[in-house]
Amino acid sequence: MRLRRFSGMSLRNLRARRQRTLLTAIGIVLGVGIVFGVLTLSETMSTSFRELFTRAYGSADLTVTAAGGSGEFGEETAEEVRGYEGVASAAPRLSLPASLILDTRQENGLPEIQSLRLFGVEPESAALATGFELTEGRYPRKGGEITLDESTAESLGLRIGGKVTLGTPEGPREAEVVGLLRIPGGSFGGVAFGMVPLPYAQRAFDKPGEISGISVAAAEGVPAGELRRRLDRKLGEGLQVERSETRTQEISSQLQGFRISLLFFAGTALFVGAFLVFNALSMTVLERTRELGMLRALGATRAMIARSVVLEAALLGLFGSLAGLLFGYGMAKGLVYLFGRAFLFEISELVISPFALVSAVVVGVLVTVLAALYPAVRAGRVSPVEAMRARSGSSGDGARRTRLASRLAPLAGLVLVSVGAPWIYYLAKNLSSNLSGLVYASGIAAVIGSFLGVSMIIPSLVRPLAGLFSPVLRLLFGVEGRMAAANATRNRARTALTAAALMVGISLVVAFAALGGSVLGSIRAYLEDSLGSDYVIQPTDRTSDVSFGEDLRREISHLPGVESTTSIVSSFLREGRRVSIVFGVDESYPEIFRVDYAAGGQDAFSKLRDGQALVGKQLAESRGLKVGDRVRLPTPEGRKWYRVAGILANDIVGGGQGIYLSKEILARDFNERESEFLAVKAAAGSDRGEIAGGIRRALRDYPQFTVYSNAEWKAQIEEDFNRQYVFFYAIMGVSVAVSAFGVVNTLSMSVFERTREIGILRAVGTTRLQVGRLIVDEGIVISLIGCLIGVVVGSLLGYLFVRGSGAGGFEVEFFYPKVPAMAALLCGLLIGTLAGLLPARTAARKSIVEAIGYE
Amino acid sequence: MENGSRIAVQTEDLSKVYGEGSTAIAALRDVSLKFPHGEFAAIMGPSGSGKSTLLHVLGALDRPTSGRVIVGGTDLSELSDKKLTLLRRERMGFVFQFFNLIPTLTAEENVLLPALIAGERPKKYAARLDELLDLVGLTARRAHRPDELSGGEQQRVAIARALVRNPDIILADEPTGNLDSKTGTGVLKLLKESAARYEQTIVMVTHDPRAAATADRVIFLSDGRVVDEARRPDPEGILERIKNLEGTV
Repeated sequence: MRLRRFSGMSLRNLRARRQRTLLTAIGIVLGVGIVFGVLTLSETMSTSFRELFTRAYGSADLTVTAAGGSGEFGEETAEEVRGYEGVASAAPRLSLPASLILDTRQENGLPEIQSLRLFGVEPESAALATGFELTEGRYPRKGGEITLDESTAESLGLRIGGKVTLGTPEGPREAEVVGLLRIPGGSFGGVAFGMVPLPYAQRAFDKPGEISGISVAAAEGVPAGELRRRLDRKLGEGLQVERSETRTQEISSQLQGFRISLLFFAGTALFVGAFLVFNALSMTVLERTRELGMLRALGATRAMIARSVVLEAALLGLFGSLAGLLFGYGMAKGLVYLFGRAFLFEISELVISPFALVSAVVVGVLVTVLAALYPAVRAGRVSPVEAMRARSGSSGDGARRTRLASRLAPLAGLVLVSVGAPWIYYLAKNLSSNLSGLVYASGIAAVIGSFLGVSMIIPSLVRPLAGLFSPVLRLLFGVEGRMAAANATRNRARTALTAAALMVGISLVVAFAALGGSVLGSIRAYLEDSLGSDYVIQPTDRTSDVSFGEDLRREISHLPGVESTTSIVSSFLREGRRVSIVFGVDESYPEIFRVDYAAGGQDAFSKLRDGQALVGKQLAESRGLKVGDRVRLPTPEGRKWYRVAGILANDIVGGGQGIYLSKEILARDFNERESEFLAVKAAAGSDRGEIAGGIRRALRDYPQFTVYSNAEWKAQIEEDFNRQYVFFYAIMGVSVAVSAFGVVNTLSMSVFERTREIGILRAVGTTRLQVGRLIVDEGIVISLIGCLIGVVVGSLLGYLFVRGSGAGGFEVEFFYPKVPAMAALLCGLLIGTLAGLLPARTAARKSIVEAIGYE
Repeated sequence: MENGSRIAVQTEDLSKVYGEGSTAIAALRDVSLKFPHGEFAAIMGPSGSGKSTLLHVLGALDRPTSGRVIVGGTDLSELSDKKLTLLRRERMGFVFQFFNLIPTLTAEENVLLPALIAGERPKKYAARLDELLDLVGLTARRAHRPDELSGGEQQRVAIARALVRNPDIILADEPTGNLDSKTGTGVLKLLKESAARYEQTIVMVTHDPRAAATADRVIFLSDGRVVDEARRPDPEGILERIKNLEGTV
């Protein structure tokens, strides 16, 4: 194909430098891949939430729930709503966490449990009550009948007429499958759905006369918004009326924070990819100085030259991004798998949205082009006189400018760091569940700014650090080691840039490890020091929120050897964007959970009896609450105020955001009576085996709950924690991988640049092995610089996170991540060695004669 | 100098100083020269005499410290970088010592490069391209890349490139410097013939007396000053003058 226009040269250049193009593109491919993977994961998640909620509220125009969004209210409201003008029909439902007790057994001999969201509905209005479609059979009409979702039925091998066992707070109940439902969008996180008749549900779950929601369909011609206002007025403030779509939108906006942090980690890979592009293009420009000068002499303007470099980058970005999509599809699958393992939430189908496709490519190209801007301007500045010079190289003028820039850059870097770091600390300190997207984004900008700042300081650290490694390398590898250290400092800017890319990934991993290790360490310390229980009882399926009644607690508390028990009732209340987590506790709570007060006296706990509240420290700070102030909560009977009796310093259960009331108040004001968690304290000198056996016997009818000894429970928390961390490490690992390719790229450039020098070394008797080692050692020096600085920066960043952090909602102590830091340094050695292998081979295989003749 | 003929390029009191203060080096000192239209001039002088700098300034590649360069009536000192670039594009052709072909382009694409840079459609140049390739004798090798061509062939491609848009002035920097003498002679002959055919002015920097002898006029530079001039000289005469020059420095 003949060249048609000047811009066509950009493509030729990419094709001519195939190896470098590929190496550079890998950064973009990986970066775009992980961004696409994360976008797809979050898109898949919000789609399944959205569909579920759309479907759970069905074809209804409006939904009536208790104020706060959870809790029950009287079923007579449904009749009342039906009587209002403008209402076509209204369907009551009682939504309950439940379980299916399966025939299969777990390792410990207890039956396996499948979490089930159960809806008590009226057969005649069931179609409106939820959005699930009936595909076979019918809705349940009488007690002992259940209509089940078809994917669960299929996985359990059930058909119509089959029998299931329901786990309820009152023990197991048999039910016959009479119909099958289809959940649009497939299964939701592996949770099963079922419908039973409303009266049966009320009886089995001890909620006589109660419902949790009403789906309302507006009459022909009545706008939903208008009906909402009308109902809202009539129903009073104990109930809330929402348009179904509003509810759905809120759910997805709650995923926002998680989504942004995932994107941030994914984004760093792309950011690191940009370093790679910058490095490679700067090098290409330097190599082509004479060619660029010639083009300028022939009449190409500065802008034309700069444009051709940008175009080259844009093409690279486009190809890289498209390849990244393919790769990203695989990544999305992997991430979904890891996510499922980490958060115990199965996702069966990937949702590939056009938004994710387009934005991954656009971001990929944009980042590449941005990284190319500076090299492009440099290319445009090449003097036409360069065409006449014998050898390519930078002119004196450029060198002076660089020298000035290199003196100013560390200062600018220090300024960036000193602005960014306090901001990160400030944000971490004020991190609450209601952080808005914009604030989040500014925190991310602060992190990126600090990284840029550190990157600007690195060039001045290259020489001293290389000097530090030099004697060690000399000891290990002889004279090549020392020469390699010297070589690494020859092109300080490039070494620094390569090391900086590595620093970003490594420091994130170390910071994250510091945060995780500290939180886990503090939890462990809390469990050891402050938890007085010997056994805890929790849902067998850890993601389930099944609950038990007071009977079970009473039974266990009367077992021989049991000194005391405490159970916790919880309720999530939503009022607009504000979410309150309310716990109902009993008088034996402080016997088992050590309570430390940040404010309020030791008698604060006894004031719960009078309807006062204890609040977590972080919540008190974010809402500006002091002892004696009143906290407002939405209840089914309208808004109520609770005086703050004390502020908890160690609210580990509520993550610092908890509001504690007495169980009696929670039952009276919120209709919440069932607990999800029970802690048991054994009497001194009692027979542990006997107690455990007793608890197991008591739980025989409740296989949806399992008893754990303290050691088992701790192990389980750590396991959950580590699984979640693996998920994040996998994402951050990609940016480390990208920067490793950066090291390969830099070393290849060094080899290319020093062809003549290598030839001379070989001519005077250096062996191939020695030449190869020279390159590998240089790789080790570069990546050790990156990893060392990464560990330092990561430790500091982790310290900021932890010190400022409300992460656990309690005082987190800083535990230094010794193992991850050591691993990061070893990783530096490994990356340097691996990255050096290929360029070292190229260097060792160069023909001496050609290398010397090379100009 | 023929009176009345048009002047292609002229310089007035041209000086170029590199560096500042005590480390300043004057590469050109008050050089005033006129190159009439159609002349083939050679510039000679020992290393460091300022001949390359003179060529850079004449070719609008670099700016003088003081003095003026006037190309076809336009004073270059008044032009912006962009205007200078456009002037090079429209009126100058360059032949370099190291050929400077783009390695990723074929011979004919390299010849067409100035047209591409000017944003013109290569099709418009189809006839001109054939003519030039025929002139430099590379019709058969037009689709080859620079690394598949010999040094002489590469320089012939470079000459065709310099001629493709029919510039007024061709600036050549040691065009024979990297060629053996036989090939070099061929290249010079080609340069001279084409300049005669298309009525172009050639300014060539060289240190090869035999190359200089093909020129209409030889200008001798020493220590940044014009020290001598010779019309239609023979190689021996040039060699003599050079020896004298080096003796006096």
